[in-house]
Amino acid sequence: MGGAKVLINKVARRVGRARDRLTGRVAPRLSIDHGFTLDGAIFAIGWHEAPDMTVRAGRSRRNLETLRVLRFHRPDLIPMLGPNNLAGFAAISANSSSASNTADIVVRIGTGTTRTFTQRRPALVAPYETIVDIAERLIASGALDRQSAVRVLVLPALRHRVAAQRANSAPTVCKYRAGHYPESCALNVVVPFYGSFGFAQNILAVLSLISGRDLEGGLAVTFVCDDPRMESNFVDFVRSQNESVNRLPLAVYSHPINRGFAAACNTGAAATRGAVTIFLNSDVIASGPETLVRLAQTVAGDPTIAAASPTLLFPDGMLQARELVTFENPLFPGFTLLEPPCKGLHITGTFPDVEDADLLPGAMLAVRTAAFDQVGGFSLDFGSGDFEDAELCTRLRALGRLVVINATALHLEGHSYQRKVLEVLARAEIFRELCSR
Amino acid sequence: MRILLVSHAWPFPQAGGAEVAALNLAAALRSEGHQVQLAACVPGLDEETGYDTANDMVLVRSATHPRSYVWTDPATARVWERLIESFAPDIVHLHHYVNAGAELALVAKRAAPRAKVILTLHEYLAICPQDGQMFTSSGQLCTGAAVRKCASCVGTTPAAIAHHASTLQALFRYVDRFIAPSRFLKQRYIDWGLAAERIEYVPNVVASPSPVVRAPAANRPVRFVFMSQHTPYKGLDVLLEALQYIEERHPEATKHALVDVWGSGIERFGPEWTERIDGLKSGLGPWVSFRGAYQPRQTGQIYATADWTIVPSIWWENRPLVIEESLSNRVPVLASGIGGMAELVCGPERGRTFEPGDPVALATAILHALDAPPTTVEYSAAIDATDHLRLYSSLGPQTDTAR
Repeated sequence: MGGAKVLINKVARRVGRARDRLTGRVAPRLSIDHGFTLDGAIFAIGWHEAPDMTVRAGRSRRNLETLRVLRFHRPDLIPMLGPNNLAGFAAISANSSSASNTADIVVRIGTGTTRTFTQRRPALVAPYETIVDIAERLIASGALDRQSAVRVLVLPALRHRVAAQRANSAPTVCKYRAGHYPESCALNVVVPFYGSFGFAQNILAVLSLISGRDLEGGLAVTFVCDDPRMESNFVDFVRSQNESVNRLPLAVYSHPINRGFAAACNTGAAATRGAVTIFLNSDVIASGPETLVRLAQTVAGDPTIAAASPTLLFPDGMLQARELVTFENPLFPGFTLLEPPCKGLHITGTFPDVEDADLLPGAMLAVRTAAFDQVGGFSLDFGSGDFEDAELCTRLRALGRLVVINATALHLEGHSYQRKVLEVLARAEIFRELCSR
Repeated sequence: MRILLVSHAWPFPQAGGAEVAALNLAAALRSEGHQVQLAACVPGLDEETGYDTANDMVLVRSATHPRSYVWTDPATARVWERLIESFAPDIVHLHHYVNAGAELALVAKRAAPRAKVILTLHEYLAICPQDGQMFTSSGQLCTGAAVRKCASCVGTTPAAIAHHASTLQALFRYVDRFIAPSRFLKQRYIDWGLAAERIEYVPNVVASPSPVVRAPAANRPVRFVFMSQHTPYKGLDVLLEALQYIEERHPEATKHALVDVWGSGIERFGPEWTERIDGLKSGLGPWVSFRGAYQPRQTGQIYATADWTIVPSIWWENRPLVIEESLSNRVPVLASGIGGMAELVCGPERGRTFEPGDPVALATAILHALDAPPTTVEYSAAIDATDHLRLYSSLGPQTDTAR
C-alpha cells in the first residue's frame, strides 16, 4: 500500500502539470480527450506530438500529432478516476514513462492526411479490426458517443487501411483463363469472391444456360478472388469445375491482398472489353439466366440507360431492394445512410417493366461499360463493403438513366460480407464527403 | 432407338424401387427391339468404370453431395461424357438424380447434342432436404417446401436451402422432359417450381406377374406380407405395434393369420431404431416371421403365397413398386391412405387404406381383412414400355431443351 500511496502522490503532482498542458500553459506533448476504464484497465485517448514524424507547413517544420489510445494495466489506480476526470487520465498518461506504469499503445493513428502539407506516412500500430472493436467497446462502456467513435477512431483507421491497400503494389494475377475467354464480348459478368465460394456452382450452372440466341456477341465470365486465404482452393475448384462440367469462357484473377469489393469489380471489368458489364455478388443465386440476359439486353438496347438492376429478393421471397435512397436514420443522428424502401415486405402487386431509380444496389448491377470507364469505375475510398455501389450511381447518373427492371434475383444478403455498424457509419461519412465534392 | 438408361444405384444385392423401375424398363425396351445400354452409378467404385457382365450393365463411379446432388468430383463429367459419346444415344433416360448428378443432363446435352434427356423423378429429394421424404424432423407430414420452414426443419440456413433449390432448378433446365410415376409426385414438383408442361405422368414398368393359382383361403390361415427396406419411413414399427395390439386384444385372430416380414437394412438407421424394432419383435408370437432380404426375381413366389400386402409407410411415397407388383399379382393391399399409396389403392377392388402411423387403425384393417371375403383385384400395371416410347417419340428428333 505504501508504494501505491507514493504513486498516487506522484500522480496528483502530474495532474497539475497535465492541467497546465491542457489549458495551454505548457506546450502539449500529449493531450487527453477521452478517458475510461474497462476490464480492469485504464484507457486514455488523445493527441500526441510524435517526434518521429514531422510535417512541413509553409517554412516551418513541426512534429505531427498522432491519435493514441493508451492502455494501462493499473487496477489499483482505477478507484481514483471518477467520471470525466480527464486530468486524472492525463496525469496517468503523462506518468507513463515510469517503468512501473508503462502503457500499451493500442492505437496510434497518424492524422493530417487531408492537410495541405507533406508528411511521412503515419504509423498504424493496431489493425483496423482491433480499432473498430475498441471503438465498439468504448461506446458500450459509455466512454464515447457513437459519432465521436466513428469520426475520431474508425474513420481515420478506415482511411489508413484504404491507403495501405492502395499502397500495396503487388500485381493482380490471372490464375486461370479458359482458351476461349474473349478479348471482347457483348457481356462480361464479373463476380468478386471473398471469404467463401460456396455458391460458385450455382453461378456456373446459371451462366452455362446463356446461349448465343440470348446474347449476340458472346459472353465472358470473370471471377476475381479477393481473398488470398482461399485463392488456391478457389482456383483449383473453378478450373476443375469449368474444364469438366461447364466449359464457360471464364478467367480467374486474384488479388495478392484483400482490396475490397470495389477494387475486385474494377479488376474484373478491365479484364476484357464487354459492351455491358454485370457485377454480380457471389451470394446472388438464381434458377435461370433470364434476369442476367434481360439486364444485358436492357442496357445494350437503350442508349439512354447507364445502369440497371433487378428486384432483389430475400431467399423467402420478401422484397430486399429495388433501389436505394438516402435517409437520416433517427437511430444514428448525424449520419446519412442508404436504405432500400419497403425492405422486408411481401410483394403483392406488379412492377413496371422498366422503372427509373434513384440509386441502385450493387448485388447484380449491369452497367454500360463505356459509361463505367468514363466515370473511372468504382471508388476505392470505401475499402470494402458498402456505399460504393450508390456512389458509383451518383456519377453514372450524369451519363444516363438508372433503371430497375421487372425481373428478380435472390440475394443472400450478408453471406459474402459481415458489416459492423461503426464501419457502415464510417463509410457513410466517406459517401457524404464524396457526394459533396 | 438407342437408349442410355441410367440407374442411380447398382440394384444388387438389394434393389430399391427406382433401380427396379430402371431394370424393368430396360427389359421392356429390349423386348421391343431397341438398343438399350444400362448404366448404374456406384459411389466408391474402385475404378472410374466397371462392367457387370451378368446383367449387361456399365458401372460408373458417381457420387453426389448429400443435399445439392451435384457431383462431389467434377471429373465424373468426363467419364459420363466418354460413355455417352461412345454409345451415341437418341435418348438419355436418367432414373433419379442422386448419385447420377444433376449436371449429368448438361453433360449429356454436350456429348450428344441431338439426344433427348428424360429424367424420371423418384422421391422428393430436390424439394425436401429432410431425406427427400417430405416428413419433418418433428415427425409431421410436410406439404411443400418453403425456405425458412425447411431451414428450420433440417437446422441449416435459408440461404443454403435457397442455394440448393436454385442450383437444381438451373441444372434441371437441361432435361427435355420429366417423368412423374405418380400424379401426387407430379403435383409436388409443380408446386416446387417445375413447369407443368415439362413433367408427364408415366407409370413405372412392372415385371409381368407370375401365373398364380391360389388355394381357397377358407382352408388355411390368411397370409399378410410386408416387403420393404426397413427404414423408419416405411412404417415397420407401425406394423409391429399393430401386430402386438392384435395379440393383446384379439389373440384368437393370430390362429387364422400369418405375417411374413421381408426386407433388410435396419442397421443403416442407427442403434435407436434397431433397438426399437428388436424390442417390438421380441414380444410377438410365431404367427409373425422375419424372412430377411429378397431379390426382385423372388417377388412372384412371395405374392403367390400371399393374400394381402401391407404397406404402412408414414411418408407420402411416390409410386411404391411393392403396391404395383402386389396388385398386378392380384394380391390386394392394406396401405396408408396418403400420397402415392392412396393414389394406387383407390377402391375396394384394390384393397383398403388406413390412417398413416396409427397402429390401431392398421390392426383394425388387418382384422377386417381376416373376416372379409377374398378380394378380386382389378388392376392392370404397365408391363411394357408403350407409354415411355410414346413420350420419347413425342419429343421429336431435334426439339430444343425447354429452358
